[in-house]
Amino acid sequence: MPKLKLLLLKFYLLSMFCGFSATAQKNEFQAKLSTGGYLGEYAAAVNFLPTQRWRLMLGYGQTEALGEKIHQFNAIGDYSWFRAKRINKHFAWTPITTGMGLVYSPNDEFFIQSPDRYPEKSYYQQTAVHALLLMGSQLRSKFNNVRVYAEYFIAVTDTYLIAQFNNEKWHSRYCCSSGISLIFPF
Amino acid sequence: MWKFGFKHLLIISWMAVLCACPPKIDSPYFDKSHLSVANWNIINAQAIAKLNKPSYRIAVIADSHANYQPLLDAVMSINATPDIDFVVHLGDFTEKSLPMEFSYFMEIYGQLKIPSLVVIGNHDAIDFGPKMFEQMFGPRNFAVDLSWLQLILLDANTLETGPIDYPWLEQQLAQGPEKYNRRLIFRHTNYDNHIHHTQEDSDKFLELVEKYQVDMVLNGHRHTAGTIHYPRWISHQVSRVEGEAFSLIEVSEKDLVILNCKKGVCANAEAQTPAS
Repeated sequence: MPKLKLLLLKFYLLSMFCGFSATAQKNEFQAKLSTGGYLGEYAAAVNFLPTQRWRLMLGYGQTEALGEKIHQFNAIGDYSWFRAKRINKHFAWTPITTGMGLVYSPNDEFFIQSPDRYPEKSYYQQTAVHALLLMGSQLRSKFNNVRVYAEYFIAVTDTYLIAQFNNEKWHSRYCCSSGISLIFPF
Repeated sequence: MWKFGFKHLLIISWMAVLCACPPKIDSPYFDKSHLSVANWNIINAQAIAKLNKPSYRIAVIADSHANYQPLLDAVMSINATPDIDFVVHLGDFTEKSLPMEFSYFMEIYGQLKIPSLVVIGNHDAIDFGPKMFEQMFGPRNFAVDLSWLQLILLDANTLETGPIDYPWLEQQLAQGPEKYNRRLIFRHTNYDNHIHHTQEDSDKFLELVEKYQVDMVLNGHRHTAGTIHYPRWISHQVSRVEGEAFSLIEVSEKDLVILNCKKGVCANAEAQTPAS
């Protein structure tokens, strides 16, 4: 784990000194590091922005669980409802983005079809794939042509939404998960 | 002219979500923040042992799955019922053993005002379920010593966690009828369930029940209530929590009474004739 933290720090520092100079535009690629928000304890992704408002994210996340590592692949598409508002020379703010996506874990513990020890392939509902809804806010910074974006986002899983649908009055404090990201445009 | 539109709704939703300050949950597959509960059964068994009573009234619920509102209603109903000493959940408190399901359950089950125990069900024993159960509640096979009464919480989810640990069960039961006047076994699956248990498995369980004079075996799993009086022991199946349903077991050294409760009204459980 300390190795991964060191790697993330190196990646961050490298990106700070590389001097990305492109402005936000169509067909832009971005690197994204995040934690929480159901994307993994440590997650890395590549963002592709086909337009200024749409963003597609493909990434990988890892979480430590009772001595085991859980791997997950994340695919998220999101849309920015507001144009970035310039705060001053260095900062701009995108108030709200919304997204939805799927996460998949290839770990043996999780399955699409119930393992052979069960009487039927559909004995239990699949546990390897989850749907997510996300909402976020992004702060963009630019110093000496180096652009780094910080994002705070909140995600909710299909598990909670289904439970909420089936339980009229009930709600839980574990309904959502918050996460933060650092984004480095290429 | 200011118009209320979709974007304003988005802003209000965003502000509302931010005000809720959601916790950081790393993954839908696992997260450490859900493990704040530890050794629940061990701690609660100690609290129950301290009661040291000549008779106990035990509320038993089962199969709440993702029905959180009915579970909450049952918990409130138990809280409102006088003189219950402790509660046992017979398992299947999740749908897919997901970490957030463990948390949703504990948010509600933790509102009980009396001590409580939890048995692992088959739906709680897939994926990381067994590990999470052990972390939160303690051993999956667990015995509670109440001087004249022995409670055994048994992991009987053979498809999910493997064969029943019969050596452990026999070791517990072998502590002798001279020590315990009453013995109750709490398990999730019914012993005669042919998906989870082979005939040999069922026979082995029955052999131990009869050999060591177990008074009663309680199970959930089938979502309906049912009681069968065998010559030497009673099999009681607990209904799922729908409609504030729970079973109330009144046990003393002399008596063993089973009541089925629904919406605050309790009635004697009707006994069925054992199949030949």
